[in-house]
Amino acid sequence: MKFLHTSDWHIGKQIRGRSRDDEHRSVLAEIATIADEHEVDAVLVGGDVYETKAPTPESEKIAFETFLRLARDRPVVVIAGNHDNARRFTAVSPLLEIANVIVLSEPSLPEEGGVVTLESDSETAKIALLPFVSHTIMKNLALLKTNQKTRRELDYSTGMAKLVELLCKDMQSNTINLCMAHAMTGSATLGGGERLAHTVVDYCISCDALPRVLQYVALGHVHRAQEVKANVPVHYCGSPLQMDFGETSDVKGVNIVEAAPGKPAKVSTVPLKSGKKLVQVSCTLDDLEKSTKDLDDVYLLVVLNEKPRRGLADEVRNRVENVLDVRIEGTEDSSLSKKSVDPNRAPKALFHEYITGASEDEKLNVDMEKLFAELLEESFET
Amino acid sequence: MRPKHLTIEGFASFRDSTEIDFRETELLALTGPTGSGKSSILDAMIFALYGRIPRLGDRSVKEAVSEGMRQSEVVLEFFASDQLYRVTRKLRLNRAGDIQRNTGSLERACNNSDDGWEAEVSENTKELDKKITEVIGLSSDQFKTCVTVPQGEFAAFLDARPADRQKLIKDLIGVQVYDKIRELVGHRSKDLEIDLHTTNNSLNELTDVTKNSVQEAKSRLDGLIELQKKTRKEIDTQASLTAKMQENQEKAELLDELLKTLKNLKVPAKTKKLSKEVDNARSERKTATEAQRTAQKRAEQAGKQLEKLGDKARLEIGLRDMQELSKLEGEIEKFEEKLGLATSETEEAKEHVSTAERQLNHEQEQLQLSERSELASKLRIELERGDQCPVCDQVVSNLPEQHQHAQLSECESRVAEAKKALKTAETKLGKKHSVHTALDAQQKQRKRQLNKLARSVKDLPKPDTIEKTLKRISVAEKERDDALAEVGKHTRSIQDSESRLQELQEKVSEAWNEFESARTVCSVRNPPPREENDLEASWSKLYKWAMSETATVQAEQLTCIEAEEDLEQQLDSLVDALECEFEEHGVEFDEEDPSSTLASEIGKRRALHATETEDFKQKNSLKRRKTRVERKQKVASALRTHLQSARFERWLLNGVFDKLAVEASAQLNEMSSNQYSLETDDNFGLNIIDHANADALRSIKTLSGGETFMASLALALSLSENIAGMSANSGVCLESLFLDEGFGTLDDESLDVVASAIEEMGSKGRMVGIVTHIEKLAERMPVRLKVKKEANASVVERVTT
Repeated sequence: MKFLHTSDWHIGKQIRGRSRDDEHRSVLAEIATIADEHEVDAVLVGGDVYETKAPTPESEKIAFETFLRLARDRPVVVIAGNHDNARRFTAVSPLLEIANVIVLSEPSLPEEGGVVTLESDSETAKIALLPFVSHTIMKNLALLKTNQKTRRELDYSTGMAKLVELLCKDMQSNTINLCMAHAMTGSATLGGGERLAHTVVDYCISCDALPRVLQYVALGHVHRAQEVKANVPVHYCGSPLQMDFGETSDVKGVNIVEAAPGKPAKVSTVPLKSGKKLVQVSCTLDDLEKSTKDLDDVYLLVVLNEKPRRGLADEVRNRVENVLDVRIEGTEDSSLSKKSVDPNRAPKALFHEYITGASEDEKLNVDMEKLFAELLEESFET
Repeated sequence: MRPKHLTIEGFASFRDSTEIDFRETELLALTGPTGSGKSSILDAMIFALYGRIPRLGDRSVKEAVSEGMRQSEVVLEFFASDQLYRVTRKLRLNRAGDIQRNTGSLERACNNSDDGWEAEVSENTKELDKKITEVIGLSSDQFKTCVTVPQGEFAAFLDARPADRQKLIKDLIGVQVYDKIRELVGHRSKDLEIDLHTTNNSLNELTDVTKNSVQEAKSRLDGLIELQKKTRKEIDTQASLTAKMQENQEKAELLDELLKTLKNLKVPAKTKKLSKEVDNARSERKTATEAQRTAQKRAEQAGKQLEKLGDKARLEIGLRDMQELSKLEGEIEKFEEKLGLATSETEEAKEHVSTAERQLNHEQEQLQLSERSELASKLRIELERGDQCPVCDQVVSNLPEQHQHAQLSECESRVAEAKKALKTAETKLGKKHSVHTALDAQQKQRKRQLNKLARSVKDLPKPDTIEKTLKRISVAEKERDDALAEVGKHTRSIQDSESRLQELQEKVSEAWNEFESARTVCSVRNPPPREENDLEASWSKLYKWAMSETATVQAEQLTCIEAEEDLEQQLDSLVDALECEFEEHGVEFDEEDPSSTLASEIGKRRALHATETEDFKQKNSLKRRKTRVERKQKVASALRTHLQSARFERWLLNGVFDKLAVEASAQLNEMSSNQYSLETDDNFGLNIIDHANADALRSIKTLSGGETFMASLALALSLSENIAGMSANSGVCLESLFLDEGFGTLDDESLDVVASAIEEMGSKGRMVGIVTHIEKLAERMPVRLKVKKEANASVVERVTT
């Protein structure tokens, strides 16, 4: 059986206040064409369909049209990502199901939608679905609380491992076994534009937890396409559009997965042409035009080797079109200041630090610190 | 703290019981027009937890009670570190509108679900406040700043002038402790100044006290102590001299006395006369004793004769009895005749009686017969022949003749006569018999008397012999009485002599006593002993001794006088020497009692020396103290200088501000996808670096609404985290965050920025709530709590997208 693996559409995403709806429309249409061309048996959407939990009607229109278009000839399986509004997904899922779009918004038991079974002429595919699970949800997840002994709280990755185990436990070697999840893995490389809070180590799923019975693991969440090192094929297909300037060098695409029972799936990437590229140009102000002359219909990030000055960015924007950001080389981070004082430190320690810097009479300093400590005690008494 | 469920009743505009569900979302919006009561929901949450509303201040918590109502009740179910709790607060007002009761209780869910609660604290406000702070890890003020982020304040903070910013930081981080220390160091400096002043004054008073002055006092004292030792020795010597003088004087007095005694010694004149008188009395006594003895012999002889002559009384009684006897014999003879006559008369009377008795018997027999015939005749009268005899029970065959008998009454009178005659005879016999008996008794008495007398005189001689003997007895008796009278006369004369002798003897013994006392007076000088029994010789011997002794004593007296003069001289020289010494030491010399003056002087000197020593010590310690205090003063004043706002506090606030800005910058950078950073200067200035615009440095004032929101939120978060870190419970994590207003109107781009920033925060596992009246922003939140005001009460509707 053949599958198309895509994720992280982020419909509704703006870049520096500019709408990307048109780009979304074209790139999603391109994905539908690819699905048709490759005659895939199913489309897998790995979460983060929308940019926000309260998508605009325009965003929903784009999403639903895409779903219906894709589902015309094959089932579409969708899980909710961290950007998606799970409740909204749940609400609309019965309608979508009529249209052959299977949506799962929260972790469920295999028999309650956690595992989707797809049949072709000769083969059966079982797809374990694992929508995004937040820490809060993980703590309260009823699924994991069936066993009284393990009632105590699970850490995130253990919980994820348990969920995967639960979903895959009935998978046999005579079926095609897949897993689709919206999650972070320990070794993935971030693209840019991912929510940092949701990609830190606490939110990881361990690759060791993925059972060998799986032929392919379709992941969403990370915007850069990549294979993750594991016992079985594990892939992030990445976002269809370049979401931020961290992804300027990324080629965007979808994965075509050919799977048969009992052996790892064959994975190939089909690049996407739609959508504007995000391009970073490093130059001096003088050769600005020269460096950007061939770049049309892109979003530009200009990194200047100049000293910052008033009106510099405006000048760049006036001279070149489509410039989103103008950055100065080497000033990415504001480094921690040495002047910083933590007010939570003990007054004595603060005073010590102050006086050591303020006065060189060491003996007097020691005496002052003593007096300071004494008066501090006294101030508690009164 | 992460709220689960809130029930409000009678609180602010929530008059009716209102339920608010916070479950199943990480992002929520509290929306509603201004004045609908959105912020009251946050107030209610703080009130439930802490029983106070920092926004209103402690006193006006009563204002939280809905107008016209008397009681507020707020129940909050919340998670703290994944444990579910339920806190209930009740605020009750009295009629006057003042707080009557403000109580609360905290319960803990047994299974982290609301099916079973276990009381943690109930009805103990103090305990509850403590427990809540422990459970939440934040005080109410910290909670207000960290959880219900007063976002507007930060927007203002961002906007404020640098000086105001400094003040705001000061207020937010709480530098009261340093203010307090500055105040204390001020007090300390003042105290030290006073201390130094006092110390200097004390030192000035002790200027005269030096090591030398102490030494001098010491040597003066030592001199006096030496003198005291010497004086004690001298006084001992004086005392022994005085004792010797005393002894000598006593001896002289004794000799004087003795001399007088010896001169007065004389033999008493009466000594010779007394000896003669004793001799006379003795010879008188001897003569009388001999005469008495002769008379005694005569009396004894007469006595012996009287014994031979017998008992004079017995002889006289015998003589009288004899005369009595002869008289009695005559009487007895005469009486015998009288007795014979009486006997014969008695016999005659007896004869008369027996005759009368016989007569009576006869008459009585006659009477009997008469009576019988009387009876028979009576029976015969009735009786016929052939009748049954009433007497013999036989059939009467013969009827007896009727007998005529003497008259019965005649017989009876004769019997009576006979009886009368008998009685008369018997009476006469009685009389005669008693006369006889009396006479007979008298006669017998006399005969017994006679026999007695006869027995008593039986052994006696004849009466004339008796009379002769009696005469001789009276002669002998006279002789004896005469002799006895003479013995008595001599006895008295002896007694006289004896008593005179007694008197004399007393005089002699007196004379001896006199001698002995004279001798005793000079017994110390061994006078000669007495000549026993010879008063005269004893005296003369003693006299002779006294004469020779007088001369010896006179010589001794002379020696004594010489010794006394010598002693007096020694004593005088001793006292003079001592007086000199006293003068040398400047001590007044009291001849009577030199040591006591000296002792009191030593006491004075010792006290002086002690004071001097003490003062010297004091002076040294004061000097040390002065050094110490001066050093302390220097330290305190240095510290004071540093604690002035220009120095330490400025350093601290700058540092804190810098830290806040650095952290806020990181937050902002993340929130804005690396577009913005914050930059500070040393004067609490704050600028934004726009990395996407060639690091353009922009003033806060030129930021758009969305940018302002992000910047202020970034500051709020960094401050929240810094303040949360200050609380005692270092494990505090901010599980929820409520942003209260602070947004004005937002253009679409800003709206997206703000919403994205909030979503970003909500995805960190925290519950994020925003309080806003901007519908578009609220709509970006999956759960909205719409607050509306209906009639006079607020209601809440939960809307889920």
